[in-house]
Amino acid sequence: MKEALLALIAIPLFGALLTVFTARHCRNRARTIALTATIMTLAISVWLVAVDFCGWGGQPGSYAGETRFLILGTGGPVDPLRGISFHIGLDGISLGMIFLTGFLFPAALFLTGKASPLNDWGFLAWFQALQGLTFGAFLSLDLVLFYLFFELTLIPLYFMVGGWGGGLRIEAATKLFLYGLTGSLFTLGGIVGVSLALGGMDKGCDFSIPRLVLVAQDRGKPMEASMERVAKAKSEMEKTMSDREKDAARARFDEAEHDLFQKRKVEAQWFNWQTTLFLMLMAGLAVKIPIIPVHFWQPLAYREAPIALTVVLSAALAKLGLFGVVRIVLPLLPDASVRLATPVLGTLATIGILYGGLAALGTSNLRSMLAFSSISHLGFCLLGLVSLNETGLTGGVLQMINHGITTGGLWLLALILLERFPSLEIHTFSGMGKRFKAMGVVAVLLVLSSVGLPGLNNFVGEALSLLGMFAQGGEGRQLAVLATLGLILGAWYMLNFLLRTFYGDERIPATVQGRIPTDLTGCEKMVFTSILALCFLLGLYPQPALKRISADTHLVARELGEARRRQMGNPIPENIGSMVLTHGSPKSGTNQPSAPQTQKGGAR
Amino acid sequence: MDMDLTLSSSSPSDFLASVAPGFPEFFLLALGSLVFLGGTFRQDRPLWGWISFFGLVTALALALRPIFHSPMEGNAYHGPLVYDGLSQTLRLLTFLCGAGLVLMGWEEGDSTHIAERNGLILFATAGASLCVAANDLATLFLSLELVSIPTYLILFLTRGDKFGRESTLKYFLLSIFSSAMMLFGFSYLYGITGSLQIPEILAILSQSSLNPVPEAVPTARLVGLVMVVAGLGFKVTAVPFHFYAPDVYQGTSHFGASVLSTLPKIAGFAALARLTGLTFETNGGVFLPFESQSSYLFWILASVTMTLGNVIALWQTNLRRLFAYSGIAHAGYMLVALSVGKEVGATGALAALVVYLWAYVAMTLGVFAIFIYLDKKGKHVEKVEHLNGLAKTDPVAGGIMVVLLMSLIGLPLTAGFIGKLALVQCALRRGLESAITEAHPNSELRLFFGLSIMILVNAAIAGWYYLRMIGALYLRKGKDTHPSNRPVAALVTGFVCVVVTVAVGILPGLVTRGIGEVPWHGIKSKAGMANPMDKSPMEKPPGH
Repeated sequence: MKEALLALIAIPLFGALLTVFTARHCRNRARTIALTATIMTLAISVWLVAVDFCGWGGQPGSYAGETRFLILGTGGPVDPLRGISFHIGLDGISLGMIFLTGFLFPAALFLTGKASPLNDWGFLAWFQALQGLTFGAFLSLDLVLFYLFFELTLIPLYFMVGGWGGGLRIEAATKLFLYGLTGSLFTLGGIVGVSLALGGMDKGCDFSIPRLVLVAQDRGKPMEASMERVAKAKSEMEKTMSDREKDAARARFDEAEHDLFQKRKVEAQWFNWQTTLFLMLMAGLAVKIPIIPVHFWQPLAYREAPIALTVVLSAALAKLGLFGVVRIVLPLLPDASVRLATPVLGTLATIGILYGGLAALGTSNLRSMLAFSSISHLGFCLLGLVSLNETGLTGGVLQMINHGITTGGLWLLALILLERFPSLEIHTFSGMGKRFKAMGVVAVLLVLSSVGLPGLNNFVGEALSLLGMFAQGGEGRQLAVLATLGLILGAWYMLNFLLRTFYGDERIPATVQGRIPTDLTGCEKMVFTSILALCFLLGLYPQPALKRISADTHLVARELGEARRRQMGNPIPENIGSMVLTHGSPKSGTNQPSAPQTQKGGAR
Repeated sequence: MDMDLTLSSSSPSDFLASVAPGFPEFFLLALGSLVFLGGTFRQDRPLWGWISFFGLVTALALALRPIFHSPMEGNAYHGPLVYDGLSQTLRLLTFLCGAGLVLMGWEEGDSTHIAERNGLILFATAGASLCVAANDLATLFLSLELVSIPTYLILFLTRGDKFGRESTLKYFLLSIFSSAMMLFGFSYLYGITGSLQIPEILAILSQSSLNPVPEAVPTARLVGLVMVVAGLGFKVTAVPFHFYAPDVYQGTSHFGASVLSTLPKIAGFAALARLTGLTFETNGGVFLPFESQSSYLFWILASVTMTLGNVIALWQTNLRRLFAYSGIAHAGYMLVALSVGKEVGATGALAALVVYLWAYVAMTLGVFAIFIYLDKKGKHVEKVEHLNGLAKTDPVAGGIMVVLLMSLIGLPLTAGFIGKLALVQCALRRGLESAITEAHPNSELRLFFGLSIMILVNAAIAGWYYLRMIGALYLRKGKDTHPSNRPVAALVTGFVCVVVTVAVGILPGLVTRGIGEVPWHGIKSKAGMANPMDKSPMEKPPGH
């Protein structure tokens, strides 16, 4: 298990080096190396999924295949558990992301034709490096390690977009890099702040996510133990008779009271900092997702990037930001999340859903349409995550996988179209379904999956996300209602695209070489069949996946529920969606809130 | 040296024992004189190059030997030179930097004064190295002059045309002026304390128990502080003492700019660190009153310096001018460590400063080495667009350059990232800690939180102009020039700089030995300050 995780990071990076050093003048060799390396990672990730579902992996709620050793260390005698460590592990949340990364990178390479200019050794080397870094970010259990992979992905992206992109490639690459850099620098500040505030300052900083989560949970707990200690010391002080005993008891009382006082002060400070740290951490993640006010790099980059890169950029790399939200922001800053996630992120996500939908409706180019539809769909993922209950979180994570599969599939469709035709302007195509039967079937099914037809995968994720948001009550309900409009918009532009390109009078543009284009080839059929199989699998029988995800989101949701109770003095809202999950999560029944109200009756 | 003798120790043998650790520097001075003398007989590039290079390597090897470290116990004054952790690590950096300069200059400039130029590098290196160890004001001043005077001559020798002369003269006049300001400040410090020894001065200056405090002392102390900082600020190009740098860098050659941007900055930052008491082991408020004044002073300097440097650099097209502003911006980051000062508990800020200084020197020297390499190869590089398409025509130089630029941006796995991480952490730590302990008003939290945000915003701005250069290297097409010759020495320097950058980026502990750990490895707690955050259940096994 450990070795498998390390191999996921190492194989692509090694492949990249191999490409650079042995295949500089041989396109075929470069392609062989890249395909071999990425297909090996596919095999490993499929194996990991299989192992996990057969129950041979780690316990739910813990990390499988954990590896940890100290890097960036000093020579001094320091606590070996502190500092920046290379700490990786796999859990239910990252499993799906690993699968997406392992699946889409080889698929994108596999479908890129042999004659494509993307078979350059440079592109292939960067592409493999990008895959290694993406795996690393999804597996990281250390804040700085996550940041390191997260930030380093910018380098291959920059060189690939800038080197092999379309006409505005340099502008697109620069924009992508600078947006990413600016955002993630704030994230760096947030990471340092979180580790200082949670990890303690005297002994040194702790960047380990699991341990910081424990501290964050503990920080939130009411200080009953300390209060008890004070009460005990007080009664003792009143009881004891002799002077010496009295002094000792008084000292104990003073100490206990001081301790309580300190704890209260720390908690009050912690409560205040969380808002700032939340905004800082979110800055970089928001750029990566992207959510609405910082999305300006995205349409340009998606349109100008080489198409094989766009596939993974949209399907795997956009998930880095969402993954950061559920892995870092929500568990480490529960109070700020409760305060800010729904009103701020939820609103932005809803705006993104509607804006993306409207913008996609207005575009005439397939790539732009898919870019905007990505903004819209990622909004649903985010909406699920920020609903902060188990239903929504599980739905959000599932929707991340679904979006990867469906939108990844649509981008792959765009890729094979670009292999055949010079441009992707929608109006140049018409009635393709008659000649390209297989392609038509694939397109119809992917579009139906994308618009959320029941029985296909997106329906499950979107429904759970919206249910979670709805369950939150208050503004959550309004947002959920508004977001539902996005589904209608989605159906509109997607079906419109389908209607105009695959139905109607046959009008097929000439190919690049002037040859008559062909329908799907055998390889292409294989890839799309597996994608469609996944769509149906996750649409018709999502329970195993939901169960696996909720085993981990459950813990996050519980922490957030406690935080909400502390703040608002009202219980976690009834889990409307939990009937969907009741098969899945054996624990969901046992963790209902017991005695809610504390103070502050100002809640609904 | 006579002066030191009378000022520092009672008996000559004590004095000798205290300066013995400075042997590598004295060796360099002697060797430099020898090279000077030899230059009158022969001007031979390889000969003087090898001699100087091996002299520097010998000095480096000597400095690594423990007998040339002086035992340090507490803050007591041992003599004019002190070899604590700070001087050890910066001494190595200085020698490496000197060796790099010799290598870079191997084929650069005209051959008529090659011996003199190598001798001057040896002098300046020895001067910078003495400066990082100087423990009293007289030694400090002398060693700073030992950096400055050779620098004037190097500037003149390396480019003798109209622009070169103008920039040399400009640097010369302003440098003298800054030295005068510094001396003026020293005179105040001496006047208040009656001592030239830095530890004693700081101890006296900071004593709030100076009973009764003469009314003039706080004002005089402030004047002295400001004057000294102004003088040293010139060396480290802190705004508003930076204005010479862009003109001088642009007017001189790549080689002259690389000397100016490294040796005086190492010396200046080391002197600032010593004079603000950053190297002292004691804490608990001994230096507090003096410190808080200097802390706010450096706060202002740091924020203005980095912001101005980065913003103006955005408009530059001339490479040396751009790197002058970039150097100003990096000086601003390093001033953050001085502003954070001692109050975080122990040596976190000092370690951050040292890591960043290593990073800065390695990155800047490497970049200039590549410029010299390209220049000598027949590809004249003056402007950013001259770098166009370099990665295609010369992949090795392009690769070296891109790693250095990534480090300058501050991407992970490079020294630039680790340095920024350490600085941000220092600043945030001071802010958060003051909020918890309530030792200071809450404004401190805002001040230092703001400072760390400023570092991040500035790093983002800097990303813009460094990225433009990466774009020129990799994404744009340039003219392919046929190389006339291959100056390997400069390329090797660039490569070594990359190695240092990456090594420090992965193992920052290598360069912070003896000065405490890098900030995230913990600091000694202040006496009596129990941090409640430590009582959290940190030692639980993760995950369950």
